[in-house]
Amino acid sequence: MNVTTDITLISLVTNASVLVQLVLLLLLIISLMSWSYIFMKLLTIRRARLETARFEDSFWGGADLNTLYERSSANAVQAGALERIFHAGFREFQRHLKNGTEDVTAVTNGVQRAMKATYQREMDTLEAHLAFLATVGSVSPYVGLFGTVWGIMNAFRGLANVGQATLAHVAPGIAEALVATAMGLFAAIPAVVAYNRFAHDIDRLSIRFESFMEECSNILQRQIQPGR
Amino acid sequence: MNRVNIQSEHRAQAFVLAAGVHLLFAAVLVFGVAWHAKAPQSYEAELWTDLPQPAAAPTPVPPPPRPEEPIKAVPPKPILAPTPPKALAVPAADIALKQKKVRELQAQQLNLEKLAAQKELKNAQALRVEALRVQQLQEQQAAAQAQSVRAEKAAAEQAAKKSEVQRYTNAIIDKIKSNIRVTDNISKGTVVQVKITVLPDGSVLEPIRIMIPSGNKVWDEAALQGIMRSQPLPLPTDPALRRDMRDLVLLINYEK
Repeated sequence: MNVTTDITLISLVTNASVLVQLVLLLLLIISLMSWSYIFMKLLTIRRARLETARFEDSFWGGADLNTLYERSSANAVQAGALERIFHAGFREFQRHLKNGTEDVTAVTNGVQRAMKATYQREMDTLEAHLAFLATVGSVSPYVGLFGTVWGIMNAFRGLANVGQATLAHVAPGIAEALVATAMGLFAAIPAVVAYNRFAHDIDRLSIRFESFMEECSNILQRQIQPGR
Repeated sequence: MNRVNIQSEHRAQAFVLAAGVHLLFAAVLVFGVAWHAKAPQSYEAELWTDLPQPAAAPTPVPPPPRPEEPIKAVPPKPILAPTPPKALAVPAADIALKQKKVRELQAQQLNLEKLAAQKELKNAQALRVEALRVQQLQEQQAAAQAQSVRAEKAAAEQAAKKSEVQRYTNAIIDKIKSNIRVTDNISKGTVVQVKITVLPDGSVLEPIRIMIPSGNKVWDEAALQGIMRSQPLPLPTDPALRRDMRDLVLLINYEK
């Protein structure tokens, strides 16, 4: 009356066909990678946010631009993204001053271009590996599904040889196959959530950077004009 | 560039954290989820208000109880026969001597009387023991007789029960046969002998054992399917009978 089949997670995996096992292995590797990228991005973005807040505080706190520049070149390793942007802009500004460039527009354009270049490099660093998370989020369910479909195909093919078919004949095979889908979903769900969150965080950071760049070039422009 | 530094600094940390997440998840899956590793053990208890008498027939006539040890009356120690009066060495006064003789005689007589009384008592005891033994023998005989009567009665009951069991077994076989569906051509004499264990609710315990296969696999399989399809099997309401029908050997033959 009771069909006694031993179903444990380990037996499910070890009894699966080679292809399903390969799919599971692939998904495990993908999941490991995506989780480590998730943690990496989490730490990197949090750090970038903190550094940005700190630099904004000291910048708008009325500190002298020259001292800020000195400080940023002194500890280049600890400097945050925003500090590096400022550093690039101010260095360009000083070069123009040294060369004795009179044209305000040329100086402002040069400063903006320098800051823009650094900004783009910073954004590239922040956005690195986000594409991987997006790919994992969209593809790994399909990979899992592929393993499942293959496993179920095998289960039903085995069923064809049995005259009196009962549910007990297919149940272990299907359970085996479904492990692949579960694994795919396990890899995909955190990746999607993390991708959305990181994309949002990076968007906010980039808005802060851009507005800072505008304001910084305004301040530098004003520094030129009174000197004439 | 320092931003590379930052990333690689986080990389090791991130990988450890990711591995930790996976280990945690695996642990939750393996230990946290009941994976149905064991089939639930099922127990059945029957509550009967009137317990059926255990079948009386098979109990052998108990050996006759050992006759009670006759009460062993501790035989009174025979009182030592009085020592014969010593011949007086010194002839004393006549009167005194006579008196002494008379006294001695009296004492002897008294002793004799006592002995006789003791003997009588012993006899009486022996008689009583004998009577007891006779009584016991009679009782034993009576008991043996009663037992044989009971055994006869039980045998009769057994026979009645057997016919009843047979009746229900036939009903079961009929039901099973009505549930057998075969499409193949099966030769007429095909018969399969199966042994089933019937639970009190009429369901059949799996697996069903085929004692003697019919030689036709299709018929064997069809018979097993038929048995499974006939659940619950018709069973008597009497719990004692039902208990006798727990294990059944059925002959299922093809007839058409």
